Amino acid sequence: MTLCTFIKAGLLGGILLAAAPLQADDLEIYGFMQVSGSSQTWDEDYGASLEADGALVGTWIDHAQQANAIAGSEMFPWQGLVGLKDNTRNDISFNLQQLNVILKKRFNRQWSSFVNFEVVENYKTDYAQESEWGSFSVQEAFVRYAPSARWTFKFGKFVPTFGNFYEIYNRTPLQPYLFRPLIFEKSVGGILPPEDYLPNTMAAQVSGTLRTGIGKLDYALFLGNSEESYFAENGRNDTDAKCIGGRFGIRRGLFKAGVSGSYDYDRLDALDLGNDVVLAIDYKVPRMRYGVDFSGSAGPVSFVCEGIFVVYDLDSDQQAVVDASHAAGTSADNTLDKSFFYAHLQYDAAKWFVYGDYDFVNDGIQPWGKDGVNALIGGGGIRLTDSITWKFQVAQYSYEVSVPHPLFGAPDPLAALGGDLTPVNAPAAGVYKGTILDVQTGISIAF
Amino acid sequence: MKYTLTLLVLALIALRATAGVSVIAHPDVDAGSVDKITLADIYSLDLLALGDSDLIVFDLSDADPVREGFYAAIGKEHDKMKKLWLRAKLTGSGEPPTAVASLEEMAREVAATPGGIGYVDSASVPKGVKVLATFE
Repeated sequence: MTLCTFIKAGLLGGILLAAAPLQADDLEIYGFMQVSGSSQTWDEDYGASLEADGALVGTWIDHAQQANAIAGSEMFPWQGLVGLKDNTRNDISFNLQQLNVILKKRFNRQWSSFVNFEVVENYKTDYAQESEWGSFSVQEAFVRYAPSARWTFKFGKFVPTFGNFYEIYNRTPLQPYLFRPLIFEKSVGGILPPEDYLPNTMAAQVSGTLRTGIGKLDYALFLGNSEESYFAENGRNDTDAKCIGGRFGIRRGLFKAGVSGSYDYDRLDALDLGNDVVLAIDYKVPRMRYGVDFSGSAGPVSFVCEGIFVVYDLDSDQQAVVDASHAAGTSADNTLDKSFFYAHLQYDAAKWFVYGDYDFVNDGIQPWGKDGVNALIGGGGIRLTDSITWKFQVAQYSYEVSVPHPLFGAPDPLAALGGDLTPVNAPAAGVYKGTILDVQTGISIAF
Repeated sequence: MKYTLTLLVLALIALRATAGVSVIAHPDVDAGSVDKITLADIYSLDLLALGDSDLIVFDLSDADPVREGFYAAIGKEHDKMKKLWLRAKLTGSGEPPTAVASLEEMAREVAATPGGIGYVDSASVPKGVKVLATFE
């Protein structure tokens, strides 16, 4: 455990200990967590395993990691043939996916405060940096003023009202998933950063519900910083890159629909596309995000459909950089625009539930942006008690990736190492298919 | 004999299940009556006040024919309401009803809490509360 993670653990423990005596003073402490085990089978035509004299010495991901995988291996003989095999592998892992501790205090009928501490990926059987502790954050900390259901104000740091699922995307007991719809899943945030599709935590929001003859009208308007890439070292966003947005919706009977939107800027002066490709498009690129959602239920059957579309307003210089990336084969398309869609159908019995999902995400600037990522998901769960649910889930993700240059092409890290090495069976540049089969089971607990 | 006893038990259960439900409130609550839609909105956390009265909502934690009768009357299912309340609790977006262990406790709490609203068996409406609605 590093000093940093030790301090984080101490901080959380200190907060809990300090808060405990206040329990009697209307301070509520509660939370939830989700633990899971998963088996992921990767099949990527374009990937490769590095073998020397029959022993696995690394998995090729990009050129930088390729060199590190070889240099870091004690088994590598530093000479001879390096065999490349298709990257088909199976990872089995057990994991505390998420732990949240919530402190809530109700000052009176109108005023309350809410603090949500979160730890993600707390423990992994495969070693990763800080894997003992995972990622600790104050997800939300806000004051809420609710003079009536028509007017509710939030100030602080919180998840804004945008679309359907976003408000509960990190509330595991409220969702059937172990692995959430793609852009909401934090464990793949390095590949699909949620802030590319969804407004980050906001600073102020007014929302409410109006009861009318045609149904209940919901509204929300929010304001905050653009994504955190604009934050300086002092934790402040001292640029004029801010975000405004909101959602308008209607509920009638058992059905609910809404439209959402936000306007802000995206910092794209160093957009990493993998394969050692980094695009410098611009420091501030105007961005609009739109969302539509529709959900409902009839007896034990419920459904949710949601689409999110990200549109960039590029000037000619910015578009030229994107066009050049596409022409060079490092981007699947000549656009930064992104789209995400999921449909969810669920059957609920008293003690159990089953569901099926279809997810789709596409990002034209990414190497996998030709046909996007498609996911078929099936799962279910058994409610063991009001607070404990056992869940299971099977998902298959499929995609195509553009590999701009051949493995062990220029720059050749093997040559840079100075060894007498000859790669064999190296995949050429091109478009390759990949699939991931993910099987998970786990337990969600609210406490 | 066995069938007679079974029928008798079923008849008693049915009799208990069809007992009327009365919606009760603290005498200070600024309303003389409420309709089913308003009650559904109150328990769905879409309505926080009646007139000038901020409400404190009570709910029975354990299954009971009176509870089931109340939710049937307002067109809701208790299991779905629990999900809605859990969402409010975990997102900080509202205050779920205060759970009470028995109808007797419900009556006591409503009578003692300004803004209190709850439901009891129509045959056991306590003193010190006002009745806002009755469902057979």
